[in-house]
Amino acid sequence: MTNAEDIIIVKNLIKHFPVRGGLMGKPTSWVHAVDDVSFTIKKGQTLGLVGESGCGKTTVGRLVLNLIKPTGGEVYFENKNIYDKKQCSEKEFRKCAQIIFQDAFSSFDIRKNVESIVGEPLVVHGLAGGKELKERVAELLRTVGLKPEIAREYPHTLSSGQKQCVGIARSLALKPKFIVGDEPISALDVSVRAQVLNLMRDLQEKFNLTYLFISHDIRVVQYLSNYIAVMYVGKMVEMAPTEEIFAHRLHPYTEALLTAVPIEDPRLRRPREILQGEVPSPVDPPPGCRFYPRCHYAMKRCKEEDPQLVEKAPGHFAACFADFHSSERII
Amino acid sequence: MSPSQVEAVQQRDTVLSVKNLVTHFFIREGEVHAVDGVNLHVEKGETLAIVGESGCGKSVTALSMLRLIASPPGKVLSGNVIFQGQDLLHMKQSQLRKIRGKGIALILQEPMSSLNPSWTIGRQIMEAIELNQGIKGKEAKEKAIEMLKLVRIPAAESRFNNYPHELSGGMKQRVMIAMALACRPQILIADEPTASLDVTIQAQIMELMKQLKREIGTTVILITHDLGVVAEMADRVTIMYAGQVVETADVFSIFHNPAHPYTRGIVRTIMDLKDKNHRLEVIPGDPPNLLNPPPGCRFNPRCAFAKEICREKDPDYKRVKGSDGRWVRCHFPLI
Repeated sequence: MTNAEDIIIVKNLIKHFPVRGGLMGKPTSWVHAVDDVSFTIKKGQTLGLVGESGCGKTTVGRLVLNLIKPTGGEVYFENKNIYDKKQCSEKEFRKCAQIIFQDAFSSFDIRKNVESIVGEPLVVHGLAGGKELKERVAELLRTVGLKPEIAREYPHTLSSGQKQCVGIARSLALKPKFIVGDEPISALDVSVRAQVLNLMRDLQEKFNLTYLFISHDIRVVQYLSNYIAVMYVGKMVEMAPTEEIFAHRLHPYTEALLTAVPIEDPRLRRPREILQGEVPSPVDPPPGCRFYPRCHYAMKRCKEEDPQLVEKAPGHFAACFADFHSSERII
Repeated sequence: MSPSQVEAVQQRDTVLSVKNLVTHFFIREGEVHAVDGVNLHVEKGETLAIVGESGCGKSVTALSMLRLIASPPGKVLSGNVIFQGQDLLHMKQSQLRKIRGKGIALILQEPMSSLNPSWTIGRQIMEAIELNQGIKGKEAKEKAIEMLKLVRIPAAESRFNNYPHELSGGMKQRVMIAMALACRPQILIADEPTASLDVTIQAQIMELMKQLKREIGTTVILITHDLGVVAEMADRVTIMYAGQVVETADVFSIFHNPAHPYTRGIVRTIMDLKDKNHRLEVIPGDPPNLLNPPPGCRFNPRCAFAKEICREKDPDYKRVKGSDGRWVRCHFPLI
C-alpha cells in the first residue's frame, strides 16, 4: 500500500467513545464512531468522505489531524506516524496539516479583527511579526480573493462567503500540505457556494494541496474529489475513483445514498427505490454487517459476519458479501 | 403593478393569491425591507415552490400570509392575501383562527421546536383533530392513529404514546405532517420540510408528500433553497431575491429556459457541478443588506447584464410577452 506519492496513509483506524453512566461514571457502553477504517490519499489529490450524520466522517477528520487520539490504528503523514511523538512532533505536524470548518464564524474570536485572526498561526509559530506579519496577512487575503483592507474589520461585519474565505486564509497561513475540509461549503448559500468551490480548486492547483473533503452533499463532493469513500455507522462500505463510483456501485448502501439525492433537472424525474428505515445507533452495534437490517440483498451470513473492505475491481473497494452491482448511470 | 395586471395573475382555479405584500422589520439599526411587494398565486392541486437563499424573504412571506409575524419588530405594512374570496390580512382574529389549520396548514423546518416536548405525540395530533373537526375522545384517538399510519409511522398504536424526544428527526417531521393533514387543509405550506434531514430520510419524506398529494389532493406551497427538491417536487416555481419575487414560471422553464439573470445564475452553479472539468460560473458578491437595499434593481450590483437603467429604476414585475403564465422582474429578461 505504501507508495512515494501517498501523503496520507490511514491503517485500521478505530475510535470508540465511552457512554458514561452509573454511580462511578464508569463507561456503560461504547459508541463505535469509527471502526477499522483504512485509506490513502495521494499528494495533490482529494478524497471525498461522504455519509449521513453520525456515520463517523467528522471523527475520521479529527483523528487524521491528531485532534483526538484513536482507540486503535495508525495514521502516517509523509510516512511518519503522527501519533508517535518521536517520529512526528505535534507542532511540526500542525504546520503541515490544517482544517477548514463548516461554520468559520464560530471558530473566530469575535473580539479580534481579521488581521489577528489570519495572522495568529504565524505568531504562534514565531514565523512573522510586525510589518512582515501585516504583509503576509495582506498576501493571504489576496490569495483567497479578498481585499487586504478587510484586515481591519471584525468578523461580524463580514458576509457568510467572506467569513469562509477568512477561515481558509487562516488555514493557509502556515503553508500546509494537507487540509481537512469539514463541510466547508454546507452553510453557504447557493450563489456564494461557487465562489468558495472555485477558490478551493484554485488553491489546490497553486499549492499542490491534498484535501480530505468531508461532506454530506454528494454533488459538491463529486465536483471536487478524485476518490470517494462512503461511510455507514463507523464503517467504510465503499471506496473508488469518483467517475467509477458514479458509473458502478458495488455496495447497496452507496446505491441508496446516491440515488436518494434529488436530481436538479425536472426532465429527469423518475421513480426510485427509497431506502426504508433509519440509521441504527452506533452504540454497541451487533455483529454482522451494519447495513444488514435495511438491505434488500441481505443473506444469513450478513447477520453473523462483518464484511471486510476488499478490492472487488481494480481500485474499487467494497465491503459486501452479496454480489451487488449497479451500473445505472447517476447524473 | 396596475390593477389590470393584478387581475391577470389570477386564474380561474386560483386558490390563494398574494398581492403586493410588504412586510418590514423595525429594529434598532433601522427598517429591514424583508418582503417588498410580493405577488404570487397558487393554483388548485399544484405544488408551488417558493425558492431563494437565506434572508430572501420566503419564510417571512409565508408567515405574513397567516399573520404569524411577531409584532414588534415585524409589521405587515400593506397587501392582500385572498383565500376563498376573503382577505386574510383584514379579517378578525377569530375568523382567521378557523382558517389556520383547517384551510391553510403550516409545517416548519425544525419539528422539535414546533412540538410540545411534554405532551405525547398522540395527544398533540388529537388536539389538532378535536379543535378542527369537532370530534372527541376515543373517536379522535382512532383518527390520530389513522393519521400516524397515513404518514407511515411503524407501530402507530404504540408510537401514539411516545414523547417527541423519543423519535428521530425523520419521524418527528412525519408527525408534523400528520398533524397538519389531520385537519384536511386545502393548502399545506411546508417551510423547508427536509432541510434538517439526511438525504435518505429526505427522500422518504419527499416520497411521502408526493403520495399524500395523490391520495388527498392537497395544494402545496413548498418553501425551499434546495433546487434538487424543487426539480423533484414542484409544478411551478416562484424565485425570490432580496425581498422580491424576481421570476415565476413552470418548473421546466426555470431549469432550462430561465428569464431572470439571478435564476440563470443559481441554476447554472448547480448544473455545472456535474462537469468536473468545468470552472463554476460565479455570481459575484453577496445578497444585499435589506436594511439598505441598493437603488434600482436589487440584483444589479451582481448582474452581468446590468445597464444604466438597472441602477436607476426598479423593474416592474410583469408578464413575459407571448408566454403562458411566465412573470419576470427584469429590464432585460433573457427570453
